[in-house]
Amino acid sequence: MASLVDSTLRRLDALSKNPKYAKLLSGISIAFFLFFVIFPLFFIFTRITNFKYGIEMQNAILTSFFIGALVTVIDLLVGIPLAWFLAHRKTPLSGIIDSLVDLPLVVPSSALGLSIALFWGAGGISLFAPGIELIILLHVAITFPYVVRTTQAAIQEVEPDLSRASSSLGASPLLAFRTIWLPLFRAGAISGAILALTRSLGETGATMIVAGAIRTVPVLTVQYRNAVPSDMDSAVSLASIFVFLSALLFIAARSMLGGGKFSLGKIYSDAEKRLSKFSPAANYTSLAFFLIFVILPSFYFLKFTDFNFLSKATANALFTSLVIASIATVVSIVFGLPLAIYIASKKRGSGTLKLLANMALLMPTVTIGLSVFLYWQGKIDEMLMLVLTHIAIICPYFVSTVSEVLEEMSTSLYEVARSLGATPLYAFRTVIFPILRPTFMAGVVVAFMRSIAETGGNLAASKNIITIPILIVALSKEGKTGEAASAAVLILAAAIIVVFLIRKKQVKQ
Amino acid sequence: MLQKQRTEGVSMPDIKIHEVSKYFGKVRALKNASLHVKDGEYVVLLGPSGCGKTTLLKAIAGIIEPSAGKIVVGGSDITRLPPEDRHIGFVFQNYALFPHMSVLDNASYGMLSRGELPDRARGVATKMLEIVHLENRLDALPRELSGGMQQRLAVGRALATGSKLLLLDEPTNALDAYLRVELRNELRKMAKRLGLTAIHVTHDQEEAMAIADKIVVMKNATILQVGTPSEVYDKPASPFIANFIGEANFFYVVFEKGKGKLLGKAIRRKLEGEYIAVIRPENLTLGTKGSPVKLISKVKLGPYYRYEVLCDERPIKVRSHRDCSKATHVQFSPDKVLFFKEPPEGLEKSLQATG
Repeated sequence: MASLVDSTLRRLDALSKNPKYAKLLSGISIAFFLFFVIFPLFFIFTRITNFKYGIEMQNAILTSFFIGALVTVIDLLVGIPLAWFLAHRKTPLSGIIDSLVDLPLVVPSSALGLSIALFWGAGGISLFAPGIELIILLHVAITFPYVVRTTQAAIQEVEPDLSRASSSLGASPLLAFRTIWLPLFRAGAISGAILALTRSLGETGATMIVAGAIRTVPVLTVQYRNAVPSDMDSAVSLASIFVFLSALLFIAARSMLGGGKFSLGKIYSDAEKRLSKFSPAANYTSLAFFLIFVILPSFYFLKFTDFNFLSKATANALFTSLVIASIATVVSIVFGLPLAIYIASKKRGSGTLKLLANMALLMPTVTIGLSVFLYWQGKIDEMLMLVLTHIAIICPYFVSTVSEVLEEMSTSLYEVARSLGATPLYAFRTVIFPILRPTFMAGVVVAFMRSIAETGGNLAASKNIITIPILIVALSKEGKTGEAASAAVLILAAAIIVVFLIRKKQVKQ
Repeated sequence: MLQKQRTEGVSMPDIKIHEVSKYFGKVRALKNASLHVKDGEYVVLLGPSGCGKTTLLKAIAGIIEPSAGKIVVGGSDITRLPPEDRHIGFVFQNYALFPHMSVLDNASYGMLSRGELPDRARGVATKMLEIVHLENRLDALPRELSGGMQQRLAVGRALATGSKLLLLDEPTNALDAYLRVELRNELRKMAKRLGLTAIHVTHDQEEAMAIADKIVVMKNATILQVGTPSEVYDKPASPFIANFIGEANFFYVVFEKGKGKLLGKAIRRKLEGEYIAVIRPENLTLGTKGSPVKLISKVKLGPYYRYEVLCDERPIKVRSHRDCSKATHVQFSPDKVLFFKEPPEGLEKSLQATG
């Protein structure tokens, strides 16, 4: 068996010498990317037959942006000092806080939403009922890692001698912060803020749990789509406005940060590296602290579980989620990796492709789901539509992280391998890929979990298929807290298992 | 609230370093360093990597706090004073220029941070930038400047603080060989013109010899010798220093009743026992008299030739301005030979730059 694999690889290695095959592979990947990922983003515009705009939509847009802006401001106010602390101090406390910051990246948003609703509401402190305050609390929890991480990375990139230079020139620490540090890490903080804003704008599933009567744009879009009789015109109109505004946001971000520096891929790849090192327990005291102060309110829902994990509904939903996530992840890797290589090699058009991938990352998943539905409606079954939606969501993310890491890698390694006689494929799999592997694996993990946690896209693409997050939302709305909590436990367990599996693989290297 | 002690532009930055030591965990970076730098002197700290010269410089600047010892500048003990209160001009090895500020803003930073009025700060900065020949690039950003210009900006910025003490951490390290020579000469000229006291760190012995009033030779966290270039070259304190500054040939000579044999010739000194003799290549002459040799290699290094010859199966380095390809013998000048006792760790080990 091993020799069969080996000889196949050898033959492929030899084939790779012919540039024709590389071009073919790149071509297929690019075509796939353009049709299955980029096209759905804009297809929605072509379906505007009867443009509708009303007071309800306007309110939703204003609400979404108001929440987004407020959440971003809170993130910056809390996140920047936190990032500074994490970048400079290496005490055990900072280790605990470090893990704390990564938490929202690990816990699927629906579970988080359920927990927050229960903790602050009737099930816990009884301070807030579902409404705008809860939405803000939820969004802050989900988005603040982006701000903290990008700012922390930017601070760590500042040449350490600069602060010594400023103090040798007579500047007090505060003056040095104002005149040297702040201007230099500002771009990182802004990148993080933009990510936070777009994440907040697009957040659907968990928001539905905590929103009460409030309607944000994604929630309203889903409502229109699922209305009986179906108000597709309104859904399409709102979704188009949403895509348009997101595109504007992207352009504004690029001009604010100056083209090259704004690279989402870098942000996610750093997050992934950290994720692969995720470890809440540095020692016993930090473990205790972590359990007490972090488990609730994030895991408050555990209190309510009715332990009925094998109920038909939950088992089906879990199975569905896993199947979709697996297929979408595999397909994304198969077509995303060659594309990432193409972009990193800076061949013709790679700049545009990179731009498109970055833009796709900021697009709301609700609109992607709606686009896919409208295009494929009647031609393929619902399950396949969901898979295509998830591919469109995951693939750009995978592409930008991997291409980012490849670009940072020194080209001389590849060149040396070639000069020593390696064919392109051989050089890639023996030299490049081993170095790439940690980020690659972490990228696979986060892509997979993104798919499992995805709600908005699902709700827009399909009416009938129930994934775990959708189940949590539905059960929570019906008041069946116990069942909802159980479903949340399952999704959390899935997330933790996947993370640990990947970490185990990492440790093995 | 304690009034913060600040050394205001001390016009007599006479620096006394008393037994300063520095440990980084278990690693000893500096051991009992003592030094006296007089006002207006251009002192060079010279030694191989890891010898402690940069640590000493940073301790004087306040960037590093000594584990033990005292540093006194102009009569005030500044050992515990933070760097921003020391009023010292420090030039970093990789310049540490503020990438988001123009040349002028970089240079003005020192005065502005001390509360000086912007106009006055810019005025002083511009004058200093003229001294370093950057007056035409005031609005440029550091990344737009060449390596040599960046170095000059780093120096100009340090000068514009108005400080009378200039500390330079391997300032020519990142430059091309040609620029290195040009800029080190400019540094000395400028320091003398402005009446500054300078402490300059380098591993390049030629640089030290070219511009220092006083050289401080260091190795393994210790100061080995302090002297003028001539003193350090003609009277090195150890074989290591003889080898590190300039070139050296080593021989073993055994003296009995003040008489010994070196390169086949009798030599007299008031010494007894086994000694290491050091003869510099330029103090050997190739010709037809002396010890028989076999020529192995000849290289023309610009103004002089460098020969390697075999004498009694051992290689010897010789320098000459003439073409000695036909030489058959080598001679030495007996008064230009240095003698040392064998170092405790052995000659070979003592010559190594580290350890």
